[in-house]
Amino acid sequence: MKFPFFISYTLLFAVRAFAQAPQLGTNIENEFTVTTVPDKWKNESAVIIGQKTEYLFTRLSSGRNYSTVVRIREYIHKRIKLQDKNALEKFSAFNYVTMGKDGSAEYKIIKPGGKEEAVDMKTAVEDEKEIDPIYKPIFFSLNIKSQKIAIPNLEVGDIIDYTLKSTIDWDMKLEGIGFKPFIFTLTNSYPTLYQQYRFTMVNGMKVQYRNYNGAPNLRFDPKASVYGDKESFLSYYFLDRDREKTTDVRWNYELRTAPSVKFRVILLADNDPSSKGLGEATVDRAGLNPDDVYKRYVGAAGYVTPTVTSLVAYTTQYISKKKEEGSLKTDDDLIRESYYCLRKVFLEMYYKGPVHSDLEKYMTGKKLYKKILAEEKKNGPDKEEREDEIRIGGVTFATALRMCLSSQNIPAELQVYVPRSLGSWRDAIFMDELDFVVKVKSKRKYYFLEPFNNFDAFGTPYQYLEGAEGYSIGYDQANRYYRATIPATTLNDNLQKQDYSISFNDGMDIVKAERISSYLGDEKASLIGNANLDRSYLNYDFAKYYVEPSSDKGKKKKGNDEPVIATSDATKYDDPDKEEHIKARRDIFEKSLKEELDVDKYEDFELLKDGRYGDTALLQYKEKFTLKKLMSKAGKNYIFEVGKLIGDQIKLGQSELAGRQVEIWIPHARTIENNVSVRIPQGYTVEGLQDLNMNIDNESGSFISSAKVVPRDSVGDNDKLLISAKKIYKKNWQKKEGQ
Amino acid sequence: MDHRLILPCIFSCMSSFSFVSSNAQADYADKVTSLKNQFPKEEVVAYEHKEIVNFSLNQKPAPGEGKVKATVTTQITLVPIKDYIKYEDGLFYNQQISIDNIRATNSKGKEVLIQKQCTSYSQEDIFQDDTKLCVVKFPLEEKGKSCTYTYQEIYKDIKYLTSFYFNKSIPVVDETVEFDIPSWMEFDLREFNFQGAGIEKTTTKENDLTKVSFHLKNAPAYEEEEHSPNHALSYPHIICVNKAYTENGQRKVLFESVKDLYGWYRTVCDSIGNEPSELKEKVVSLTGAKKTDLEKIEAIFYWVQDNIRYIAFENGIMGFRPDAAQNVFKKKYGDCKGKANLLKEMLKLAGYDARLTWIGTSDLPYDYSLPSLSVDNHMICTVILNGKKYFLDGTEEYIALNDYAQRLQGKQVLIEDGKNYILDRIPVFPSERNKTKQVTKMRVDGDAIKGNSNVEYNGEGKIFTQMAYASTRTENKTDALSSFLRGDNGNIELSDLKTPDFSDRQKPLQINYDFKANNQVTKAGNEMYVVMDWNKEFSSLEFDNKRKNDYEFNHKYFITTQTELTVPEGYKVEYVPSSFKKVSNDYSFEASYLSKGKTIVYSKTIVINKPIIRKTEFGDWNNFIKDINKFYNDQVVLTK
Repeated sequence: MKFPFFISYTLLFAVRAFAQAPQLGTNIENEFTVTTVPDKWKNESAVIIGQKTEYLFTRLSSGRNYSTVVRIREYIHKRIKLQDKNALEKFSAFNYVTMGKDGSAEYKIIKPGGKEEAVDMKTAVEDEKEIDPIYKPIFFSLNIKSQKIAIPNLEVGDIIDYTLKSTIDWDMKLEGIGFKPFIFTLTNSYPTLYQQYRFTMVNGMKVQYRNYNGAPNLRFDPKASVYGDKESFLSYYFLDRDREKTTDVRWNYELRTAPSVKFRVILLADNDPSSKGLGEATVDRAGLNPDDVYKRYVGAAGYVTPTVTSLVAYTTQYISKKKEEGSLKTDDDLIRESYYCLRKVFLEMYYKGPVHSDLEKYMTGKKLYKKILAEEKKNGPDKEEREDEIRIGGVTFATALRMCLSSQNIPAELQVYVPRSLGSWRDAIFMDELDFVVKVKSKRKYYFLEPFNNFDAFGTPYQYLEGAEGYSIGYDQANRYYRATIPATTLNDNLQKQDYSISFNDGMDIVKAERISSYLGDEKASLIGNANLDRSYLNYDFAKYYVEPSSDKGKKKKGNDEPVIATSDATKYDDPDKEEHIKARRDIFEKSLKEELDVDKYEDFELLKDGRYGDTALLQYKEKFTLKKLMSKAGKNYIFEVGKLIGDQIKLGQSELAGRQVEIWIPHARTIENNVSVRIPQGYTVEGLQDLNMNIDNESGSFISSAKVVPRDSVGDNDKLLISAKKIYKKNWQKKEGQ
Repeated sequence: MDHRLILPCIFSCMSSFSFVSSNAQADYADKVTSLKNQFPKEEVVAYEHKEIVNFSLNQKPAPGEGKVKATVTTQITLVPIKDYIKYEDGLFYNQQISIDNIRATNSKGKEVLIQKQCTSYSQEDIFQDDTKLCVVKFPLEEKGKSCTYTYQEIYKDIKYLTSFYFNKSIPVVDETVEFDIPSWMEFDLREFNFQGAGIEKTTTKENDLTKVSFHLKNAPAYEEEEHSPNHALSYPHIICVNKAYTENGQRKVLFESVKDLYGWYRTVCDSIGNEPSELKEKVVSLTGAKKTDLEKIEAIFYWVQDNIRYIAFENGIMGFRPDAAQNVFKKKYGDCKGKANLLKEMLKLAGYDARLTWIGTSDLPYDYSLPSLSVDNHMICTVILNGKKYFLDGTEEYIALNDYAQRLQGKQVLIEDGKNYILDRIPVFPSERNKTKQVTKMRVDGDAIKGNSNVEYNGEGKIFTQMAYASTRTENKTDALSSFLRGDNGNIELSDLKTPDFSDRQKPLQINYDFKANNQVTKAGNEMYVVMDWNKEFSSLEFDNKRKNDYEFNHKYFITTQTELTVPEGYKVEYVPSSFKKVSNDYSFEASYLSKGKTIVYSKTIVINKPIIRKTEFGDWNNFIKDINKFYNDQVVLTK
């Protein structure tokens, strides 16, 4: 193309050097003109006819150079057909956010006859949100508007079509060079006819991308790309068609079974447009480089802080003393007791030190190492803090434990892994997907140790570690790392057991019950915090792991190896709210039982084993209560519904049985055991035992139940009915039918 | 695929304010133990809570302001019974009420830094209104160290000063509500739910002021529980009646009687700006083919129910003034007022005498002898045809003409009548209106029971089922209906579900299905025990002493069941449970088993006439349920 000769040289230069950036939203794909849906989706509540999300990244200039600011334009276009009243109500009103001075929203409806009715956007009202004052300047400077609009004249059969446009200027100096990574499935809550995601990027940018489970690849679009001598805009996109909606399936990790993508846009912080480093925008399809992973994570168990030094000094002193006394004989003993002693020091610092939010953050590692690892992201739902739960920071723990064990000549490694729910190592592309545990090998076995909270016991198994793939990083020499997978737990590692002793009142309408519940492994995770709500364990911890202050007690030591705590009441913990905590615990367990059975009276809760010590620490408690509605009458006979005490079997619905399309991802292998001992009132006999004897066994699991009456001579003054039921889930994964 | 790259995730937190204070506070450390015993669940108690109401004349009221203003000054002495907690309070305001002078001082009289975050408050079912919420937070000292917390609410127009409740979000040891009424103000206070509440009222005269004080000791905190009636029905409160004021010797009436209240409503509604011509075509299309008056009224009423979505804009005066009929018609959405007004205009076009009608639903214990904006909360349309009034509630779904929702039954209505008004009442229906009738035939098949059931729903049960079915996603309707019919009982499997026309308003809703019931038959030797009723309605509804509130049923109930069991070949009937009957005015249960040789017929009728069970009646109710459960827990015995 020739330019008229009278155009100035400067302008000509500018035009030739910097290509005109493409416009967003100018190309409306034919797919967005569709008004009918396939017959197979006629009975769906709504169908997404099309959805497109598009980004354009340009760089602002400062003289001949680029400034540090990247301008990002966002364009969202969505078209949804409403097919029933549920959808009509759901799409009656929209809340939306736009950014930038030219941010805008347009909504219209398309009637079944094709008539289009634009929604008057002047009827939108501000949707005031709670905005943190520290972010208010950002909202103001970015012109972020949060609004809502009610859609007029909307009826079943209509199509809603809307676009949202936003612009923000992203300053790399302030915000960094990488956007947050996205990981999502391509299934939506409604079936989708067409969806597209597009990035058009100026020189010096790249998008990391990975598609898996059948999701489409990212493709280059030469037609939509614009080339210039010094600056080009390359367009990449993926599109997906005819996608069924998300189905809510039991025992499923969606990211392991549904078509999914991962991406992240990265900017190069170079301001010189002529720099070779700023080549045309590219796609980075590489997986994780083990070398990079090593460099990124090796420091996570080598970050020595005053807190770490304090933890290590105290623990080393304790372990040395116990070794001298001869109570620690094996390396398993040393590893376990180092872990528990570290836990004690940490808890003592928390519960006895001044509880202050900054200290708390410091102790839990949130301030530490934050530039390297985003600690908060690591704390997924499985690690969510409960009311009485505090957790040591991952880096503090890893460094302290490794140093403690190192002083005992026990090497520890760092196991970096992809959590089970996210997927395989092969499909991991972001460091953000990774997490780590400390891996310690004794002569007997490997231990995978997480940063503990109050209630974690040594070697506690976690669902997200089951078969998780990754790399082990060693510290005995530089650059030592190797591929390693964390083994899955077995059916013996995760136990849920309930032992009932049952008798009846004289009226034969109330069941008197004493129940001992025992939990092991991951089965105790959701219960142990509440069971230990009385905080008695702190007294045990403080006393057991107490180290006499050294002879220079009272002298203020200089340096980092000063013991943390050495006060006269160091072996005790006085909980000012002890009674309240005990009552709260009882209330929690009473409420939980009432959700399970028809409780007449809840009489007592007693913690027998707190589940916090030993190698395989059993959580065990005893409850006393009376139940109603378990006995019914039939003439002169009584029917005792013992099945309700054995627990509900998981009953798969017809649709689950018939139509399962994905593998079964069970949290872990486990054993569920129920034993019921019933004191048979004098003058009564037991019938119907034949139904209770069962033995089903296959490669996935087994169900064994038995029942017998033990005569009074051997068990006291009454006959006893003994019922035993055991359910075993042998594996944590099953292939789908037909595979 | 809503994954927006550039959307910041930063929506939360608060702004801060500070005030200067110098009040010295007392130490309540010696009272902590007794307060803890008295209010074991609480972290903080209001040792004193005082609200003082003052009145003033506004010489030059600005638009939106009234001639009389009121200021409510609240002073609370907070006593923490736990160390170092953060106190949080929510203060509501809107265009008519502002909040001012929020401050807190600690036990040393030192000002406490207050965090205040004010934002729009989204009320359920309201798309937009002017309600704002200020969340106020500040730290308290160790237990026993008091903090004085004060603020003022300024009512720019006294008509919006309506009610005072005694139960707050925290317990109050010593509570006072004081009205300092000047002689130029005629002001009435109506007491509700005072009986047994222990509230003392005193009246004193100080110069020009009449001071009316209400005192209450040890008021527990208001607690939300499932099935709690609206707090106006149970909790003690005062409704203000702002009758008149005198200025320069001239007496000016405010809300002295319902006539004045109606007068104001009328003024507000005079400026709706209806353009009925825009509705004409639709009215003609709806009524053209209809022959009778009732058919024409029905056509319009049902069209509004089916086609106008409920979306409420209640900003400022729009909380009282309906949106114009043509706007609601075009937008196809509106609130109760908008729907009532649209109905009125459409019916008028069709030639009927239709009128706007104000009503307080069953959530409110008032009638129009109370001239206050608190008296009503809803608007409907009344059609007068041949001297009979038909009350049309456009916000209902699937309700037939001449049928009335439980929430409206028995409630007084204020019907517009030009300069005058008409007072009337919505008819009350007996519990039979909500009759649910289930007829079942079944047989023993192996270890299970198989059979066929026909369930007929009427009244509230029918409307609920229709609404739930309509609002369920199409692809989930069958599963949802099946789950509803099974009562989520895992022992029951349904098949051959025959669904009726769910949009029919006139006929009972009948659903027929086959079923298989597991775990209802027990075999022991020659005997077989059979459960013939696994629904066992209300069997779990016992109240423990932890419940704080009365219990409100969804509606009145009338449940009948008739089940016929075919005795299996080779068996005979050995035993059937005795008949059982327990009847009171408020609720009754009657059931029997009748052995007919080859069959056993089980009949049951449950009636709940009273929608609310008061706490004082919980004991009787629990005994009622215990007796029912004894009956439910008895089974039929068959022998070979």
